[in-house]
Amino acid sequence: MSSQTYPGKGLPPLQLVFALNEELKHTAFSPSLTADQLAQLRQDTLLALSTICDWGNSFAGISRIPSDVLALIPTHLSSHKDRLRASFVCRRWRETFLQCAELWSELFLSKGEAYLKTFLDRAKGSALDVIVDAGVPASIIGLLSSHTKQFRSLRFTRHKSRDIQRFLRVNSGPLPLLRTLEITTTERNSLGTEEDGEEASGVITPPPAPLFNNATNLKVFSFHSDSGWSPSLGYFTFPHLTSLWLSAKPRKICGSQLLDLLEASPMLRTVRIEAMDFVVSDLRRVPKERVVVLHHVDSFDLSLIGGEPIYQFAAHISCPSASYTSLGRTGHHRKTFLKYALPTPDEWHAIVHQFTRNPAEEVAFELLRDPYATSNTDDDGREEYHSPYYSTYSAWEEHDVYPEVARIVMDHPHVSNISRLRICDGFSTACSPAAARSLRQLFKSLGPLDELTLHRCYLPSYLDLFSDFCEDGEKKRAIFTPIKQLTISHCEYHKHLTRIENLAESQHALGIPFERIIFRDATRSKEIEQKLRTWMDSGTWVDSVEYWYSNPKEMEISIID
Amino acid sequence: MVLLVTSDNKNFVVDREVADRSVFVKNTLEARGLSIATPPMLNGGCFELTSPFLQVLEYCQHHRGEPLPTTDDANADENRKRTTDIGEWDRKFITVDHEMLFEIILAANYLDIKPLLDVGCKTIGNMVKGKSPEEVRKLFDIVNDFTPEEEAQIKKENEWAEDP
Repeated sequence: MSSQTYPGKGLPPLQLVFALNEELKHTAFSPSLTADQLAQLRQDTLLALSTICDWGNSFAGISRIPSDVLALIPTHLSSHKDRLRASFVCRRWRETFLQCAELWSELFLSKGEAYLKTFLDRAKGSALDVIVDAGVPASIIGLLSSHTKQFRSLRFTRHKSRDIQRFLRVNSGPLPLLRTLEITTTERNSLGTEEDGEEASGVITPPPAPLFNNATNLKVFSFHSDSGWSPSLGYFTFPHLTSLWLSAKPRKICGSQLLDLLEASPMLRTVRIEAMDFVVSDLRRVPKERVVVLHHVDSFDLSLIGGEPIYQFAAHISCPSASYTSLGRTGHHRKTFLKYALPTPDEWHAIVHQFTRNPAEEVAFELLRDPYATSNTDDDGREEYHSPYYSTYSAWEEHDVYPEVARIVMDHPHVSNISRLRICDGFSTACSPAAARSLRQLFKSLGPLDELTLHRCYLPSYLDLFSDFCEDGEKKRAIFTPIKQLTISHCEYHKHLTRIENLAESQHALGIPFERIIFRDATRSKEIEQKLRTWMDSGTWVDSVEYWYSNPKEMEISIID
Repeated sequence: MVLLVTSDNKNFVVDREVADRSVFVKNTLEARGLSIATPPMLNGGCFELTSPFLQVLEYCQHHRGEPLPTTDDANADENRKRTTDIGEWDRKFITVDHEMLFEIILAANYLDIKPLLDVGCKTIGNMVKGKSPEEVRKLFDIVNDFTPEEEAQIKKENEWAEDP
C-alpha cells in the first residue's frame, strides 16, 4: 500500500480535502488506480472528514470546557452504562475519558475477557471495585491475580461458597486496599463445603482459614443470605471493621459466633443485623454474664423475624456510646406470642440500661405494625400480622399489646429520654378503649418529643389522644408534652382536618406550637394550610418527594423565624 | 470587605466571607497579607471575571459561612462523586441556558470554587444520564467525528454498556 498515488496524497487533512475536491471535480476516473489505492483514498478521506468534524466540534459551547473539567462530568455518573456511553459521544470526550483511570475502576467480571482486559488497562493502577457474579470462569478470575493490591471493594452476587473460595485461591495476594466486602448468597449451604456430595448430605466442611484474612484493612462487611442454612460467622475476622450489615434468613445463626464476630471487631461504629428464626440458637451455652461491649458503636440495629425474643441476644450486647439503638422483632401473632415476645419490665430495663449507658442521647420506641401484612391468615385462620417489637402483635380487639408496652415504657427510668415516637397501625379502626387509655397515659408520661410520626394510621385513634381539646368534645387546657415535629404519612389526613387543627391548637396553647408539620400524601389540602396558619406560620409544598413506596407529594408547614 | 474588579471594569464590593468561597481569591488575598480585619473598600485585587460573575456571586452569598471542602477526606470525595444529587436551591440556581451553564463552570474552575464546579458538572451529568451518544450529541451540538475504525471499536464496546 506504500505506492498509492492519488490527488493530494500526503497533504494535511484540510488541504487534502480541498485538493481532492478540486482534482476530482475535473478528473475522470483513472483506470490506473488500483482497488487498493481507491480503498486507501477512501480511508484517508474519511480520516480527513473525521478531523474536520472534530474541528467543527470545537465550535460547540461545551468544547470551551477544558479537558480536566470535562473529565469530572462522568465521575458523577453512577451508572457503568452512562460512563461507557459518554465515551462514545465524540473523539475529544473519548480521549479525555479514557485517560481518566478512575472511570474504569468498576469491573463486572461477567462481561468477559476482552472487557476485563480493556478496563484493567484503562484503570491503570487505580483502586478497583470488582463485581463477581456466580459462575465466572476461572480464566477470567485469573486475570485479576496481579491486581489484588488494587482491590478497593469486592461484591459477590448470587454466590456459592465454592465460587468465593475459588476466587480467593486464585487471588490469594494481600488485599491492603480492600475496604468493602459484600457477599450475597442464595445457596442452601452458603459458606460450607465445596463438594456437592457433602452439601447434599448436609455436612459442612469449614474452610481451613478465615475467609479474606488478607483483607487486613476491611472497613465495611455486608453479608446477605436467603439460604436455609446458617453462615458460619467464624469464617470472618476483620479487626478494623467499622460497619457490619448482616442480613440472613437461615434457620440458625449461631449466637455465640455472632458475639465472637462483634467482639473481634472492636472498631465497629455501625451494626445492622436482620435475621430470621432462632438467631440465638446456642445462646444457652453462652454464660449469662458475657457482655460484648462495643465501645465505638454509634448505631446498633438488630431485628429478628420470628424465633426467639430479641432481648435474650440483646442482653449480651452493650453499646455505651451509641446515639441510636434499635431492637426490632417481627413475628406471627399467636395467642401465646405476647408473653413470649415481651420481656419482663426488669429484664427490659436491664437491657436498655446496658445499651444506653451514658452518654446515650435518645431511645426511640417504635409502636409499629407492618402496613402490608393485613391480609394473611395463619394456620388457625386468624389474621396474621408481622410486626416489629413493641407493637400490636395482633388485632386490637384480640391481643392488645399497647397497655403492656405502655406500662413497661412508663415504668422505665429512662422514659424521659424518649424523643421520637412512630406509630403505624395499618388503618386499624378498632383502637380499644383500654389501648387508648394506656396510650394516652404513655404519651402523658413522655418528655418533650422531637418527632411524632403517624404512618398509615386511622388518625382519630391517635390525634384525640394527643389533644385534651378533643376530650368529651370540650376544649380544655392542654396538658400534654410538647411535640416539635408532627409527620402524618399516608393517613388520609384530608378526612380529619378538624382533628389536626385541634391538635395544632392544643400545642399552641402549651405555648410551644409545632415547629413543623409534614404531610406525606398524594392529596394536597388548601384547607389545612389555612387552618394551620392560625397556629403556625408559613408552609410549603414539595412535589414528587422520594419516598419508599408511592412517591407522594409532600406538604411541609413550618414556623419561619 | 473586598473589592473585586471584573474584566469589563465593573467593581463589586463583597464581604470577605463571601469572597473566600473562592479558593483563588482567598489565597490571593492571603498572599497579599489582607485579612478580615482590614477596613472596607480597600483594593482587594483585580480579577478577570466575565458575565457570569453576578451568578457566581449569588452562589457565594447563599453558601457563605458553610464549611469549605477539604482535600484530605478521601471518602467524602468519593461519596461526592458518582452521584448527581443536587440540593434544591442549587438546582434552581443552575437552571440556566447551556451557554450560561458553561460560563458558570468555567468561572467556578477559574476561581476554584469546588462545590460550584461540582454543581455544574453534576448538572451536565444529569443531562447525559440515560441518553444515547446520539442524543448527547444532539443536546450539545456535537458531531460524530469518529473514524470507521473507531466506530467499529465503539460498536464492540457498546455491548459492554448493557446492564450486567
